[in-house]
Amino acid sequence: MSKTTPFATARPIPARAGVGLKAEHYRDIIDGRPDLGWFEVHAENFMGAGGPPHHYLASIRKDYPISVHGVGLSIGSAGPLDQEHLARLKGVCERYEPGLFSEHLAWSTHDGAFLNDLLPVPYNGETLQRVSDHIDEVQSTVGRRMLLENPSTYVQFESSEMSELDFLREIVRRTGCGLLLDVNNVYVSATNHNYSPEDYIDAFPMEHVGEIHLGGHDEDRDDADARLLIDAHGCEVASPVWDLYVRTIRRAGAIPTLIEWDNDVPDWPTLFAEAQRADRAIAALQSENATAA
Amino acid sequence: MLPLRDLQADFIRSLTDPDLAIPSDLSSHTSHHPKKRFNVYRNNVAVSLTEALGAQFSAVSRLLGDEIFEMTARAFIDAHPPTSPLLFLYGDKFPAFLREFELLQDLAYLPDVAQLEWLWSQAYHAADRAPLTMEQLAEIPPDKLGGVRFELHPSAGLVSSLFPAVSVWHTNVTDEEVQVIDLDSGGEDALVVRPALEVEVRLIPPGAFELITQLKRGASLGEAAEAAAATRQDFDLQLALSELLPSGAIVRFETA
Repeated sequence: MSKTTPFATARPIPARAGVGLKAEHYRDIIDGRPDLGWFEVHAENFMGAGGPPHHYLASIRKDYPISVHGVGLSIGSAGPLDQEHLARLKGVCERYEPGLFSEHLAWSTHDGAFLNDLLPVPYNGETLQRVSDHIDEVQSTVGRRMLLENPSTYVQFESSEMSELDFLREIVRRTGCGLLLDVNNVYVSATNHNYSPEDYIDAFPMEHVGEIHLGGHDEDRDDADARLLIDAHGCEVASPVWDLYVRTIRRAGAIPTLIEWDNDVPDWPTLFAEAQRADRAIAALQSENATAA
Repeated sequence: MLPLRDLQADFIRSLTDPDLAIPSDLSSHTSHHPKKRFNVYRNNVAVSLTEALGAQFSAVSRLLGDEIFEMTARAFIDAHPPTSPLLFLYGDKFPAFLREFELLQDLAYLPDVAQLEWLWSQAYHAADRAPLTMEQLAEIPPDKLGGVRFELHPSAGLVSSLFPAVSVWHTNVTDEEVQVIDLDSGGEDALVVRPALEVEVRLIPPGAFELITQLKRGASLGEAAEAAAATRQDFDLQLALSELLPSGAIVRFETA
């Protein structure tokens, strides 16, 4: 598996655990300098002209590799990409030189209104064309390889003509982008649509995965009282998701792994403990592999 | 098969209007009409945007209480959905919306509190500039004072209220138990500025609002003082300058 991205000039993201950077933890990180592999930032939080966000990130960036994760570009929109937003994204990447750069297979903007959620797309030829064109545009404008994240979804479309996996494979083939494998999203979508998350992981094109996400989900019931999982990022990673993660890295090898905790943000020690759990899983795999070799 | 553009238009219409049927293209393994599943998206949009507004306008949210704030925020979101993925830019129309919102007509001070919170948030994200120190400002020759023009800090904003809106804001963002503010205790004006990392909200004396507003527009100190004196009989230039000059709101001066 290729561990370098063709355009990256920045400090590479190590195959260790990282966490999503939250304003609540700036001081803990700057004062404590925890032993953590890297941090991920939501690009949109660093698109203001100045102020504390840039001050603290610049300081953290001196000591840790950074990845940039966009949440607002709306790559799955039928309409054109927001050129101003794309330019801002390029600006954030130039300013912080991330080791990895990712966005979502989703849409959030329609006719100029921003909905602030990651909405699903049907998997068919038209979407494939649209998303591929948008990714080409992003990669050529930002000047870096992008990782595309698999979504959490709650509904399916009658107009889907292919599986999510076939869709992702074809996107990668057409655009040369990489993939961000969100293992919690796999578990959420597989449960919601009644397929096996293990089969999905076993068939995932791991050779293109540059990063893994782990996050917490909520549980609800749907119209027919079936389990409905919701990607909420407001709690610890669930136990079956950890199992699925171990299965993932056994297949793929050690990959940079992010703990996402965006709502009801916990204190730093709690978040750091989640990251250490991912680091231990990676270390266990490596010692397993060393013993086998 | 519905083109993607039409499918997304349908999706948005249903998403933002809970009385509409869900888009016909949707399904799930349990139902051909997965309304509850679609409601997850409806809920995500409404809740996340309400939270975004609540983060920008935390004092307004506290003053109204969760239930009324949520109702107000949802009415605002319906009328003015965000037009940018940068949510710290969301809510510029919220103070004016509060002024017009029928339910809140009794709370005449509320739009001013909202305006102060908006300025605070914009100051937080504004460009960084080094303010002039008092030593640097002392270099203005006394005989040139009348003609001097100031460039104000990019974060500088002003609010003027007929109510003690600044005190109301302050107790609601700092005190665990809010202080009682007498709404008849007179108006308050404030200068919002972030000279370094911390956003500062400074009460300013009578007429200083007009003085600094004029300076911001490029008026000379003499012109601005004249305009300020015309709006307030009790305007005191020395007093106003004793607040403005050390505030960090001035980044450059130019003598005629």
